[in-house]
Amino acid sequence: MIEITTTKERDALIFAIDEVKDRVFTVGNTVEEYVHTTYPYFAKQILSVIGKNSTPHGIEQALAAYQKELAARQVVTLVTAVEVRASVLKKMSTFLSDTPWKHALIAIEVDPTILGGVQIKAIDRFYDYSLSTLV
Amino acid sequence: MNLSTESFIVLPIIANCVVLFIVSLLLYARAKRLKKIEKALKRKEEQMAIRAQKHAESIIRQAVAKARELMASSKKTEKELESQLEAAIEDAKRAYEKMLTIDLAETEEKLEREAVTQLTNLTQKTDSELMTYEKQITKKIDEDYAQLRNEIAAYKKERIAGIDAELKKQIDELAMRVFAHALTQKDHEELIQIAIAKAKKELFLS
Repeated sequence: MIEITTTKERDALIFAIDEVKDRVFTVGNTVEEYVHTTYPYFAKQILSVIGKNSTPHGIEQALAAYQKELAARQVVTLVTAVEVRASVLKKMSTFLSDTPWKHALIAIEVDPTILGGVQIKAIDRFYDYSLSTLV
Repeated sequence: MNLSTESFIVLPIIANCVVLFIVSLLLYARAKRLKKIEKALKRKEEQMAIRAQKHAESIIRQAVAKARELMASSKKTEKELESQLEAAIEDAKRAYEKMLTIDLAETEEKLEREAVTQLTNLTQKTDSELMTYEKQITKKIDEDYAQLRNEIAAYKKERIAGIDAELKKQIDELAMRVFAHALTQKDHEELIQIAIAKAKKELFLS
């Protein structure tokens, strides 16, 4: 099961869950197969949420509740000068795990004017660790 | 005895009747005389009235005659007075016209003299005030010009300083941008990791 750490992943998962919810009433007992085929990346995530729910109504309710929980998660925005690779992103999410924002999702914003480094925006707070502070 | 008693009773009665008769006679005589007097008075009154009427008539006649006489004489006097009055009015009119002519000429001269004096004074005063104003204005212009020159110099200095600062900022920014472009992806990622580590240390481990 993958860990959802970014808003990008969160949005993709919410979209996938929407699709699954739409199919629940038509594909019936083949939901598991549909999820595995269509969204292999989120399959474990979605199936673990469905769990032991066997009725279309139960499955739909469980998925909707999870969607709601995902949408309500706190977001910390990290502004960088360039697009970062997944490995660096992973390190950035590790940074959050040791902070009070450990359950927050990371949103990446690219702004070349900060020149380099990172700016952190969390709700009403802003921390600037970019090269633009040197100018 | 009896006779004398009767006498005592009858005699006073008789005496009383006699007295009463006498008194009545006297009263009658008096009334007659009063009537006579009254008649005489009435006659006298009538005579007096006639005499008063005649006297009044004579007074009225005299008054009317006097009035006629006075009216005749007053008409004559009125005419005389009228002619005298007209003559007096003519005299007064001539005298007034003469006086007016003299006064007008004098007044004209006086006014002319006063006007010339006032005009001369005014011209002198105006010239003096104009000179004062000119001096004041020249002084004010000089002061304003000096102040303006100082303000322009200060503004120029301030603007040059601002432009210098802006230029420096832009040069720094440009240098950083050039530097940022010169950085590789790896450099950027290292910078990000350094920044994250710094943030973590400063924000949550301090």
